[in-house]
Amino acid sequence: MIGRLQGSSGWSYGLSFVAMVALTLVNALWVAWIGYWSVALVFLLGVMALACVLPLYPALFAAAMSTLCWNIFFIPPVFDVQILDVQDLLMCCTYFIVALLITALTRRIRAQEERVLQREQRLSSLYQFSQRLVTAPDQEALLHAAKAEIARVLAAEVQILLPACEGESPFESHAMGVLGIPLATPENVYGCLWVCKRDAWQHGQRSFLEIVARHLALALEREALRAVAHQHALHHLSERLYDTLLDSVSHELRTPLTTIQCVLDNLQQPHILEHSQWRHSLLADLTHASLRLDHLVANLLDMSRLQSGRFQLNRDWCDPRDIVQSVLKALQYELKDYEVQVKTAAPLPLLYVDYGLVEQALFNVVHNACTHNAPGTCIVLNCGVEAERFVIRVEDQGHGIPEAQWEALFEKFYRLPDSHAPGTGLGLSIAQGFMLAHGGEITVCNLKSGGACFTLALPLTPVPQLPVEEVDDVTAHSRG
Amino acid sequence: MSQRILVVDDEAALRRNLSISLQASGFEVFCAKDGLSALACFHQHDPDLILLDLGMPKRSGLEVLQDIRQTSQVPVIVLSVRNQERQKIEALDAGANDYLTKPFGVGELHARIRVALRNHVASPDRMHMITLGHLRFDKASRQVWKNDVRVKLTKTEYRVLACLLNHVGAVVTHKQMLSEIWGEAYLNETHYLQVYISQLRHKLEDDPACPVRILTEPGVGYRLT
Repeated sequence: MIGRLQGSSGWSYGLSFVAMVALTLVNALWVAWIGYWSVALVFLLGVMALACVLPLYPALFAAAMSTLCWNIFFIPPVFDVQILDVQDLLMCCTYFIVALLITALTRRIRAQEERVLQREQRLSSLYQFSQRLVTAPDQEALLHAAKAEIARVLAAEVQILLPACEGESPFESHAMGVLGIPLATPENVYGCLWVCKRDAWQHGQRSFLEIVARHLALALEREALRAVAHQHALHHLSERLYDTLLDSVSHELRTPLTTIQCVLDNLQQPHILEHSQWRHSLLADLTHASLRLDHLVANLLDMSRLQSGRFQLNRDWCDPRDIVQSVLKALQYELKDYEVQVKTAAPLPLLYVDYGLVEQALFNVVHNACTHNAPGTCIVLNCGVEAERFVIRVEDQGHGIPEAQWEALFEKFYRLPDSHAPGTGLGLSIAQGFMLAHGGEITVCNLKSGGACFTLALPLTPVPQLPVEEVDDVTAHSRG
Repeated sequence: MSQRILVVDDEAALRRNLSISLQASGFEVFCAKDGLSALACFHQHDPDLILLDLGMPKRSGLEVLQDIRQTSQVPVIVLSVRNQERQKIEALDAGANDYLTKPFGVGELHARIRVALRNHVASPDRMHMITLGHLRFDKASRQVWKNDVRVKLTKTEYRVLACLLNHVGAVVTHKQMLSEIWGEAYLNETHYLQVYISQLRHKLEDDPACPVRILTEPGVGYRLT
């Protein structure tokens, strides 16, 4: 209301004029009862009221006009500017001075009140601003919040340039009301805040902007430091991963390569070559080393496939018994010293999965079962359907796995702390990746008997209907 | 006269190893290190069998195979590595007789070569009686015996079996079986095969969970041995 009345001065003068005319008319009605001196008090009330809502000059105009109206229309002689009575003259002059003083004082109180209000608004918006800066999750959100807040408070266009662009204004050069403030902390300059205001800068707005800029600069510094810290942590992590990879892979590669080298050197010795028992055991070592290399390369390829995130499931219908059989066949060399039992709850459903990936997942789990358990022990593969899922449990007769390790077991390069068996710590991580890709999962638990039990679970897909077939025996009939 | 084998692979060590192993078994061996020289060698020596690597520079194994198949039905065994499943199946559907996945054992290689050569010389269509272990098949009367006891098969079961019987010892792809038995419209219905193969195993195998006659070639097809 106040702002609007201050907005147009013509309107304010009009209002003063109309108010005074109205007061004069009202006073004319009751001047007979209250007397023409009391009329002055009514005018004074009106002037005070106007001074509360109008700017200074329209209010002063109202004060002057009220004096004139009282003089002309109420102080005898009526309808004449002249004042004959000395007492009346003194009253009129006093009235004029009091009216002016009251107007000026009321205005001053109003102005002070407005300033206090503005200051409070600025303080609260500063407070809100710093809160939004603190809670902004990243630099983009931070800049967005700052822009929105400044634009809201100042009703101006805001641009923030990062980093500081050598004093170049993003707004039309020499446009009125453009202000650039560097976003600087004692150590660094992070950019420049440009504000373009269509109307004039008001009292305190510049200092508000400077405080905002300082806050913003501190927030930007915080973001920059956070980014550096994050980068540092990532770098550290990748370095650690790289070291682990290099350690375990180079160890896993070198061990079979060393075996191959030794066997080949040995086989070049005529007396070893002629000793058939030695020769056979050396050749068996060679086979084992090459299988181990093949397994390692397969794991590394699978891991890079998973990491690239670009591998596609090549789903097709397959018989889970085929998967189990091909894993056992692929591992027949490693499993020859173990007793393997396959228990299937017939009938097993067909699976709609990527054969190769599920096979590799099961391969890794069974391979672990034989590398981590003593030869001669029993490995059981239990296949069945549980809760709408196809489940394979791989159970061994080892010492089980401490519950604290269950989760970490599936992490890349993780190896049980007391493990002496060869490996890279990739197998279970790959198995998990492949199962997850199918919407399945792999979990571990310990058996009551003490061994570990890995459970691979896959969601079932309903098998489409087969065409109806005649059940008769065709072999007795002639060819069709 | 000894049989001639053409070995096509870009890895010299593998060519040398295969060549030594095959020569030791009495074959005459020619080697080619890429697709172009393979074709030249094929036209020059007219081999009885080709071992063809799928991943080669200049001209891929698949292209070489397609060129050869335009003029000749010579048995071709393709050599592939893991993660080349698609090329492998393409090669089989383009007319390759069998495949081996690197790394492979020499024993396995020799077995595959024997099967391919035998199937080629004595076209199985003309052989009525086939005996595999304790199984006996009579293609003329469409009868099957297990341990000399006749096994009753349904029409579709027999058609699936007949498909495998035409290529005893060699791999038959899902696509080949589906198009031969159900037609071109059923090429994606691999679950048909799974079901009938499972039924056949129950009737013919001693232990259906651990088959020794009707073998699965993961993601590729089946093999009757």
